[in-house]
Amino acid sequence: MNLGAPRPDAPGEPAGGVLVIGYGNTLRSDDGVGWHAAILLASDPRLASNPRVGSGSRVADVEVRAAHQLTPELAFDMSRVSLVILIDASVDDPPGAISVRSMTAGDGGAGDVTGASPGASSHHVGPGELLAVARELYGAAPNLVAVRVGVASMEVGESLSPEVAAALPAIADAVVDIVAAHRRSRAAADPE
Amino acid sequence: MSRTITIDPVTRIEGHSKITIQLDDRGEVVDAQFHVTQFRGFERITQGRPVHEMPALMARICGICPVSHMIASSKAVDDILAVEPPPTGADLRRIINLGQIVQSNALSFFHLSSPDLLFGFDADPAVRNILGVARQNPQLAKDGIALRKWGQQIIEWLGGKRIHPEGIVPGGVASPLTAEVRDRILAGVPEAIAAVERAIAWYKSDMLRWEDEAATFGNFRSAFMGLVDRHGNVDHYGGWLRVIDADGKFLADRVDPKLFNDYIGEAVEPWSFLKSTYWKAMGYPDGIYRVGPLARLNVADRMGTPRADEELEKFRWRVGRVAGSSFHYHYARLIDTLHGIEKIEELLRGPDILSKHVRSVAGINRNEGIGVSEAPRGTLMHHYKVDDDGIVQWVNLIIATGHNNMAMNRSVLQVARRHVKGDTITEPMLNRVEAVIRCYDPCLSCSTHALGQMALQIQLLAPDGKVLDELTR
Repeated sequence: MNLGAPRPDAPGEPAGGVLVIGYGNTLRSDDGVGWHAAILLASDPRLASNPRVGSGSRVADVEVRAAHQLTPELAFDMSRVSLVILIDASVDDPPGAISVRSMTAGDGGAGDVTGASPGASSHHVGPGELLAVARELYGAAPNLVAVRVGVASMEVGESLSPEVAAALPAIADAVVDIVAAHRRSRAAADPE
Repeated sequence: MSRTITIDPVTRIEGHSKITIQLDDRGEVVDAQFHVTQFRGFERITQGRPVHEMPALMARICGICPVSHMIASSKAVDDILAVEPPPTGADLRRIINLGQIVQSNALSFFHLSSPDLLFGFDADPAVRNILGVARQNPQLAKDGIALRKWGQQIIEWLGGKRIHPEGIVPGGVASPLTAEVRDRILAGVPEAIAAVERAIAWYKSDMLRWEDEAATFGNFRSAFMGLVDRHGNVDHYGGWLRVIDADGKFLADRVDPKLFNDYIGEAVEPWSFLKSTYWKAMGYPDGIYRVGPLARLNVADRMGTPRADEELEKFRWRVGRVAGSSFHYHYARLIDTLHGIEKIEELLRGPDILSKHVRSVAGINRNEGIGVSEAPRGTLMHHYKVDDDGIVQWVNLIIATGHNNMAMNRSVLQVARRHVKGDTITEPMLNRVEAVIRCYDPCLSCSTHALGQMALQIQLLAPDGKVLDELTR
């Protein structure tokens, strides 16, 4: 597992790993919950390298990144894995509440903190848009799961609200469960 | 009855803003303003902090260009410590700064502006976006992503993290470069050059399409400012300030950047959190000037690297010795990127680049320091005052977007006068007003650091200047 470090960029690397991206603005209180969750997950032993993946090499099957926002080059990184898990703040859910949903290319819309409509982007692009670009440019788009966390405060500040801070262990558990299910699924599909 | 058209928010720029366009009785545009409604207040937040923390704190201003702030901030702290980084430390700062410029320029051109250029300003917004580019011109989209990744990797490998890196410190950089990292960066140079040269070729082949637009996209006489080295080449890290007028005549040359306060004033308007800087000798608001890639190309004699110099010659042949239209920021941004890649290679091949001497260490030796460098969007100035214990007492930041504030307002007015007719907001008009702002690639996160007493004011004005409605908060 590797926080922020790039995966090898050799073309044709087999897709099989998991990319976890926790993102948000850590200067906007709970908006940074994805970032904080990524920091926590980066040292979570439950996400340690799966010996099956990478044929015994030292290549980790899970990479965790903390990011300020989603940016276009992530489309390339997404195309190299079979599952992407995004952790972000949600203004639509109660403070500290965690919701998990699968997304597909083109997902996202108004009021959706996790997504963004194509064409309405700033320096930020939405996850559905990134998936679509990954598929269009690199011929591969992974499964994408959004883990959204309800916020209490988006005011200027570096601390999480008590409700959201208390949810961090549960966010980590949710991500670990998704990764475990993914590993089981791949093991069942490829018993060797 | 006059009416005000409001476009809120402006999409595909970093931060938040609003534009108001005032119409007269006949539906003609009489005024336009670009409002910045975002406020962050770093100049106040950092007071009371130890000055050694400033580079890391200032990197938090922006998730897009943290390196630029770390560079200018570290130079300001160097000044307070009264030290110069060892030559290798300075070169490593230059490399990471250029990595920042390459990746930020790539984001601006390939992902934010190329949809407009590829599909035209009248195209359906559902198509005119990065996914549309990926479908219509996949090589262009891939090249943009490749350049972004390469620049980001340089920042990460030299700075420790790609967002808010920590490798740039007062006195130099935190650690020396290894041969392995040097070779890894160098391995990406040929593809990076190929990517940007493909984009330049594509842009040149298509630019005749935009001649008409360029004539009214912020096409006006103004001064330009940027840093140049002792040979007159573009210098993104140090050197001297050079300012030219619209005819290319020097208004100032070989000016120590630390003396910028003698030449540049700052004005505050009640309708924006973004300060407007102006050339003092010409007064406010006549002292309008522009910074950024277009200004860098306009003020310099040469780029200082072979491929970029060749392209600069063609640029000047096509658009003139001093390009006056802000539409040409796009073209200039590509040449600026090409230069950045070439310069990174040149620096990495320097004989002392692996030297272990990368940081000077000292205590507080001055109570005031100034750091100036070129950020992707233009000249960046950090000015600090500290007490004898090195505790920050006062901070002033002049950000590229602030230098360009008056030019952006004038550009919006010019575009609006051409395209706004009647009282209906049409998609083509909206697209062009937003697109002219994107020429400057403003970063509003960076630029809103004015003091907290400034109010945000929205006014609806009659043709005689009478305030029909007003909102202040």
